[in-house]
Amino acid sequence: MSNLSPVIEAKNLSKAFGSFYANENISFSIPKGEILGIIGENGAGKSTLMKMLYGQLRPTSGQIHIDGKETSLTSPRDAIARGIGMVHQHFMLAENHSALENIILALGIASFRLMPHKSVRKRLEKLCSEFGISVDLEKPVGELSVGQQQSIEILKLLYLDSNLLIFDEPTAVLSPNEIENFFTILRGLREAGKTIVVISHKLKEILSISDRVIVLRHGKIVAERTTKETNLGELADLMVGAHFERREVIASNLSAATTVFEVKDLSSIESDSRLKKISFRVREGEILGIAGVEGNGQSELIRALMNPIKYRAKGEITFCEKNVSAYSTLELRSLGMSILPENRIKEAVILDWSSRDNFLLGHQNKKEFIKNSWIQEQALGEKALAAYKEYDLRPLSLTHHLSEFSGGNQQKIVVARELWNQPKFIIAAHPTRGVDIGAIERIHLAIQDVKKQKGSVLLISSDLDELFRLSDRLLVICGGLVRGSFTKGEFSEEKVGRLMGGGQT
Amino acid sequence: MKDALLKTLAGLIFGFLGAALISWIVGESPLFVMKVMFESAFGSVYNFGLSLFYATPLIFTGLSVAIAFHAGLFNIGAEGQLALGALAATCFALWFPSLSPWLGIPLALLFGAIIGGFWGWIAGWLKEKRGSHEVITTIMLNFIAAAIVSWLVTKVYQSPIVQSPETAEISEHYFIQERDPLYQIFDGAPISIALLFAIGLAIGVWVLLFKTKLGFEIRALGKSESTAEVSGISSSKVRQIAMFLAGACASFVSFAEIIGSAGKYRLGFSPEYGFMGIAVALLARNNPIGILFSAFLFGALHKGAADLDIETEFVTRDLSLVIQSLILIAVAIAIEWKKGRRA
Amino acid sequence: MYFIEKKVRLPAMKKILISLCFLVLTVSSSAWALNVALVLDKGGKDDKSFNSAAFAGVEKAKKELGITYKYVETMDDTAVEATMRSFAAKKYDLIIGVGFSMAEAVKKVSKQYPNISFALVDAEVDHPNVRSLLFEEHQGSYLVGAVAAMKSKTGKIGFLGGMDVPLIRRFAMGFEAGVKKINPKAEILENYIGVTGEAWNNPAKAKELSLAMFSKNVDVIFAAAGASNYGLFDAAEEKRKYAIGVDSNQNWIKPGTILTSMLKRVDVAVFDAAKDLKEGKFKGGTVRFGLANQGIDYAMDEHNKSLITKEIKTKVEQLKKDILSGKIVVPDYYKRNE
Repeated sequence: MSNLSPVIEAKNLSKAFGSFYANENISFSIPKGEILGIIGENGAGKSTLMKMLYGQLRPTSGQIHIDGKETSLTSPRDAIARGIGMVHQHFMLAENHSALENIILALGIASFRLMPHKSVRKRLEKLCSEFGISVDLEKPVGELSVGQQQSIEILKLLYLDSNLLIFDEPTAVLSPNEIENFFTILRGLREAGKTIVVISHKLKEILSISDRVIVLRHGKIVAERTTKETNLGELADLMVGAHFERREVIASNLSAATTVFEVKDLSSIESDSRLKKISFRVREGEILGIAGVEGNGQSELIRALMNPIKYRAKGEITFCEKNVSAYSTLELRSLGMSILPENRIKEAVILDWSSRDNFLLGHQNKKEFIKNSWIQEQALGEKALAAYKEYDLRPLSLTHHLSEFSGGNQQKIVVARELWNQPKFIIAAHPTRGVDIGAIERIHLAIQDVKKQKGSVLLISSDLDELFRLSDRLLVICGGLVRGSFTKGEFSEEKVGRLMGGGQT
Repeated sequence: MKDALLKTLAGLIFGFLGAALISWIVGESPLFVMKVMFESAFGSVYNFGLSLFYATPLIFTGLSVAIAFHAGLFNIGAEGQLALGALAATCFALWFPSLSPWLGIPLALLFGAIIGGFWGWIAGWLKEKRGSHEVITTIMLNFIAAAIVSWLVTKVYQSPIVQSPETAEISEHYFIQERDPLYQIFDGAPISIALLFAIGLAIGVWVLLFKTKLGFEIRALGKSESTAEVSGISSSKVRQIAMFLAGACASFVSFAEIIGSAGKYRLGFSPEYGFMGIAVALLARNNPIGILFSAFLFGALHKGAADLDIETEFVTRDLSLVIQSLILIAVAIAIEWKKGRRA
Repeated sequence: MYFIEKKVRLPAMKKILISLCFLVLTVSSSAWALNVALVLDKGGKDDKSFNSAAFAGVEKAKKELGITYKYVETMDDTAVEATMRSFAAKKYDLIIGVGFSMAEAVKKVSKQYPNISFALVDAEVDHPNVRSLLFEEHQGSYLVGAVAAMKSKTGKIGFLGGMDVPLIRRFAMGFEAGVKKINPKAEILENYIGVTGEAWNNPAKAKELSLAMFSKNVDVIFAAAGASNYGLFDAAEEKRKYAIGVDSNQNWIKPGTILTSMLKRVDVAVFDAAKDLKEGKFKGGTVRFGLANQGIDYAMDEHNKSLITKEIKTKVEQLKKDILSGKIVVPDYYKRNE
């Protein structure tokens, strides 16, 4: 397959920030019509590499060759002009504008003339039919699904005649059905002779879509494999740099357990709430998983559960045999609830505080840490350090600011904090999102340990692997309603996926 | 800390170079201008005392702005809070003229703090109840405070024996200037023990913010409201407390200006201390201890520039303000300077 | 060296530099020259009214007596005392505080520096080295009140004060008496710009208040508001009504619009203080300026000749005589409770 001349070739690319090398001597080439997967843990240097290819960063040393010629890319505009396009993890779309308008905006051709709707539209429609993309070009982008928004981003690149398309974590926000659809589009692009780079840490997906895989670790290429000749285990080991063992999770025997947390007909007061009416209960020592495509009421559910006095509209919440329907977060926490919020950066940590100060968040009413309203700094430091040690925090420091930790280590800090003190009930929302494989394993272990101590967990995630692995029971929600329920052993990707997409079992 | 000190120094040097350039352009000897500024700020015990005197109210308003800032609120209302708070303290002194200084002064300050704090709290409460942005409400509250104060001073408490709009003098139980140890040291500069109180207050605010639960909650709210909420911190409660404390800090300007030097409330006594407090706090990055230094820098520059008008031929009142601002801007830039890193 | 360079670069500076050299020369050659410090209030040197009058006084003293002077415009009230102390410490011979807001500072500093002479306009400080310069504003206001009443067609006349303080109320009371003397049925509208020193320098608000009065059919307004007077002049010109100026002769600012100005000869008072000091005749105590010694008057010049008819002039002169002879006693706000 590589008998064709390479579209793009990297030769000994290095990028240094001060004395730290984010990329070191990276060399590879991509032939026309190939899908290349680049995998690596957070901080392995994937983003730096892509930014160099897209002209956002200048290499410290090394060259990029495009179509056989040495090229220096000074800006994304430069890269686009040479046929390189990128779809970012977070889409660059104006939500109030239609797809058509967004594309015109991105092209920068609207400047002083009337919007050239007609001609652009015509060409877009042609591109759509050519690559099997179906998007409503007139609807405001904000009203479209995430998958369709992604299609618009792809259309943008196609309109610009990009030959090399780079995707940064493209499946992170997609539902299983949308992922399948996305892969179909990718294959179509390959057929049409486009060259594609997919950056991801989801090994399964890389295995199913790519032709070739490059594994990055600590800024270097540690391995290159033809996809057909490798497997999940090997890639995971390569990525982490050690042999990696996944432990099996044992389901609890729950038939006789008491109910710890119960919700009846809950709805939210948020103005455009997608949460309709939800009921469930979580028993002692149980992990209840909630599966669903994002934006189907999960966020509203989490908020209504952790701060019912502010967000609950109707319904009843019972926790430890108390009616807590009008409790505040503070009161729930003092009853023994813990929260791993959806959005780590926004809701769980304070980035420019030290890891020690972050440990106090949520524990600021515990007498271990506060006596007569004075912060007990020594106790706080000792307890935090012990907890972080247990989670193998790297670097194991109390003084580093949170922003200096990788995403995985930030999440370890949050988990260590929230699970300290053996909570009775934990709301764990996307506990391993944006977290590398090593940390995922540690966090999964911690969540299972909660069960051993008779704690209960409400696990909300869009990662089916995670849900299947950890949950004792699984609810699927769609459109703010529970669409189905499974117990361990009955989980099937197909059935759950269909319910998530709004179908029937 | 050492880093900040060096940066400040570098900023001062660049600022003074700029000032020298301006002096040279208008036709003054730059060295002479520097000399006048230095002597005017530090040249005698009296001059140094005045620099400290100008710095004192700025410590109070700087702390006021900083506390609110730590809670994520932009307090533009220190001006109104200090006006009402200071008038309240004055009124207390006028109502109970014969209390002993040991009782009377603390009570007057406390009463002022309650009124000033109440004025600050209104903005916090409005944000909670109506979602009104504190920048708008504090500005509006400034106007209301100014109107209330000028009505009270001219129509209710106006001293009958003078033309100027000011209250009667407070009794010597409160107006302790002659017995004030600092006043005696500084050769008649209107400085008072209010400066010591200000330093103590700054340390107190630092301890509050960084060593106590309330401070922790204030800072958490200021850094990330959503994180604070998930952590079980009541944003509503903390915000209102922070605004109350901010107003109370601003009100203590009365200690320096009324109890410490004037002995009465003169309408318009504040040359916008409340607004200067914003700059003082920002320059110190809202660090209470840093505010002591930035307030002193403001005070010394203010005093230094004041004499330029008198001493030089071409540096007028307006130009002295330009020079003063130039130096401050240079320091501000230097402090925020980071090694340039271009993506 | 330095100055030579400058001349090349900035020819415009030349004049100043030459006069500077000249100044330096005069200072050094006349060691006996009197040093006068002038502290102006918030209206500033260019208010063309109260402060300008004081400034004109020292200018005249410089020309005629060969004194040197330095003036400062007040930024804030706290600064006044420090400024005066600076001047005193530099051994200025005479420090003049312009405006009642300087009283406190003069009182303190004059006590600390008993060997330096002070003059204070519009307020009294009872120290042997302070000369307090007071004016009989009500008398002059009475005369311009009479003018206003004679020129008014609607019988509605306005008074616009700067800062609402007893001093300005004194203007108002005298003015009202003058109006009523001519037209007992006249209606008088009275308003003030503010309660702080800013009122002396707020022409925008002055204009707004003047327009409001004009819209109520007022056709003559007398303003005693320092630099704020400009607002009235603008409004009067716009609406083709009459205005009366204050302190300095303001007739020239808008000829045809400004009927006359109530003169308060701060310039004379200031000049006399400098002159007396130079001649060794300076004494503390209060000096009063009124119609009798021309410290107070109304302005007649070529700019308002056409506005003030012979009859009006005759009538006003008659009133002036009557005041001087004691036949008319103008009500004085300061003595309202007696």
